[in-house]
Amino acid sequence: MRGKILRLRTISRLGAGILLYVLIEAALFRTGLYTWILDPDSSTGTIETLIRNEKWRAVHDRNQVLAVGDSRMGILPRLANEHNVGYWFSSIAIGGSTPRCWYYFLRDTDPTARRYAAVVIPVNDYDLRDAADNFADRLLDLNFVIGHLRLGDLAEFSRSFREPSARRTAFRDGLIKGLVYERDFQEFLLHPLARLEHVRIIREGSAGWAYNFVPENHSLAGLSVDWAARKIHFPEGLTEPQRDLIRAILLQPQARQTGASAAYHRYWFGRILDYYRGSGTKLIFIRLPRAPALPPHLPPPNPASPLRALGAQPGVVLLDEHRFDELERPELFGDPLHLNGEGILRFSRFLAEEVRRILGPPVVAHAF
Amino acid sequence: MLFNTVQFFLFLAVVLVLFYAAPKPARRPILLAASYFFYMSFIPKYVLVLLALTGIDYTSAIWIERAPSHRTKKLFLIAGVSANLGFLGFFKYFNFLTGNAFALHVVLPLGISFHTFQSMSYVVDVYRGEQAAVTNIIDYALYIAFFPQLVAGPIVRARNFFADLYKWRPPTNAEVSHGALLLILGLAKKVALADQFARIADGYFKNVAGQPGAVTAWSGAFAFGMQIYFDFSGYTDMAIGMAELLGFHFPVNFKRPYLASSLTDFWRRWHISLSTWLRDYLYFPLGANRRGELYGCRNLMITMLLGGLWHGASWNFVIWGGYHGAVLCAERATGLARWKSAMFYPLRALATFGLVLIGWVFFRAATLRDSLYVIGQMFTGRGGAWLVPVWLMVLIGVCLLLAAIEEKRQWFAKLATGPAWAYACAAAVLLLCVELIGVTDVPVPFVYFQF
Repeated sequence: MRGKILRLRTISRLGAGILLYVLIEAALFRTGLYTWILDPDSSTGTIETLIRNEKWRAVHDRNQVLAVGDSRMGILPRLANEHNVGYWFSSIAIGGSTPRCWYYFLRDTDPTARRYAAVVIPVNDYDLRDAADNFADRLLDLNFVIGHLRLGDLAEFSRSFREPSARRTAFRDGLIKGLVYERDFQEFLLHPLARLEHVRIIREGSAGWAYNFVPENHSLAGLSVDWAARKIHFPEGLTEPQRDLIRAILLQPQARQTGASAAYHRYWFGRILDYYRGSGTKLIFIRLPRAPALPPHLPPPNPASPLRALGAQPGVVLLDEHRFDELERPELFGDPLHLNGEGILRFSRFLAEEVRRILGPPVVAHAF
Repeated sequence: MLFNTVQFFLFLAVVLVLFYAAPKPARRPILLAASYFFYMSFIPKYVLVLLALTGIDYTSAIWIERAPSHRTKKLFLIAGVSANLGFLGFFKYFNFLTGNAFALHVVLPLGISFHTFQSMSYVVDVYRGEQAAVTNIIDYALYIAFFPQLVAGPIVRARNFFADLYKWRPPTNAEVSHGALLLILGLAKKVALADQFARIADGYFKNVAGQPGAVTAWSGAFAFGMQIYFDFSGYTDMAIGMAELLGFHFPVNFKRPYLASSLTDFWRRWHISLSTWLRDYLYFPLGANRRGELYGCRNLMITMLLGGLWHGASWNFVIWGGYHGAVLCAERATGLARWKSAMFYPLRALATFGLVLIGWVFFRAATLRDSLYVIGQMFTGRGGAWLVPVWLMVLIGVCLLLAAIEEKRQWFAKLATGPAWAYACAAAVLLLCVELIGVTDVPVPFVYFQF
């Protein structure tokens, strides 16, 4: 009996050590404390800054429209707002993020699900065709969502990866968050004072800088493609790596269609829809301008696409998928993936008009 | 299945549960099965080498003990030792000795240097009458294959292991506390310190000519010195901790070697299980210094050269061993080896550390040419940059302070039985170090796994 009590004491000493560690870990990484030293230029730091600025932004009515997306989401809120459609646009789109990340971003940016009149969600095509990127097993997502994963999310988040090794890593890193922040922390140790100063500057100025950002205006004007011969005529002044990138994007063979992309998107768009169901927030899906040049014969639309089915649900709107076709011109692209300044200006205005059309006149402030 | 992986910790947890849940007669077979499973998780086919050596040494020892005459005993001893040296020689030195002249490229079975030395010491001990031959093959196989020490030691003497095995008792509370903390400490040393220094040392030694300068060369050597110490002592701490949790007691393998006041002192503190093995089974049989200092130095040189060669088949290791042998002889000749006074201790410790770092250059550099280049830069190079970041230097400063206190007060051992809050804080800090300053994206193999 005495032996058992002693053994219990030994285990409790160990347990106390582990508990203390868990508490410190949680205090650092589950309360937002660590964001005070997080590198604002990293993927994690950038999204944390975006979300924090958006949450801190004063909101006086519900005529707010939030855009999510990756780097191809070409909306600049300032340009859309200057179009004066009666809704205030903001964006937490960040390069490299995926629909899985957007779900967690939205949940934390809009914890009551009542802040926005609409959330704009971009896709590359409404058919959700498989592409070269395998979103489901993209562990890079951890860098984006780590600040927003809760313990209760662990099972769902890790299960959403298909590869067993990716599932294990997602579970482990979601549980022990320091493993994701580890590189950032070690870089902080290299120049701690400089980092703290940088964080302070970004905290104070980033919201204004991001809002007033002026995109570059160089374009691919002069680019043309001989689709039959699979030859590209490049405009003057492009470097060889830029040409390689254009070739890789425009002439990439179609990926084998397995339905994986459709399943992935159905799941995460479904989660976003579940989150906003009954909240009055509309989910507006848009097809982004695809490329500066498109082949003449594209695969026919798939009417059975899960996104089209989702569009039939209440609170979900699929914008006419050809609405931005007129922007698919070399003069409006800065590289094969992204719109340039002029393209962003037109896209932002078109989008603002479409949102106004879908949502109707803005609601008066006292209703909020 | 490296010690610094999640898989290993799951494996350890399963072994601990099975071991303590099983009835006593089943415990040894469980440990043996777990040990073979662990070994086979690296390169499964080399378990055959382990089995063959186990069979040979087990039989040799029994035959030695039962041999009717001294001459027959000696014949069996020679056969047993030759088999071990034959395996070791073939796997470790075939490529070196043939200069890769044959198409056959021999891959080194993991831990062969350690388990052959352990086997040989057992056979020799039986021959000397210091150890009874073990008749239960499972017990003997467990002695050789026991997973905490199988791949990189410490080299455990048979009498110690079998004393633990045959008089096994559950670990005390202090032992469990101490073992668990050692396990965490070892992990922290490995992933938070050794692997950080490995990045710097690897970066430097990959292209030494591209990074000239005395400061750079010294910092590259310093980084490797830190890497190998924290790597190997971290591994050993984990091995000792695991053994303690299972009710076994391994010898101490490191005693703060970088606080040594001479190279002689260094070898009393560094890889103690190997240095005492070399002393007992090589240096003493060679005659030690019974015929005078010069003769003793000759034996010391032979021991250190073979000790160097034990680490690997390359001229760099031979030179490393020879260099240490030469300095040890010089210390004997000048009386420095026996200097116990505390006078000038910091200076002597610093000089010893510098001497050790020079030796590490031969140990780490890819080629002899690289080694000579680095040594040249250390003494004749100009300028350069200190490669180790400030935060790591601060951490090393903290470690140095803790080591200095440990030297006088043995605070770590007291921690296991001390107040619960102190124990909990130590465990939590070590775990945070693993998490935040560890290199965990890709597990880095232990340096001594290659030997």
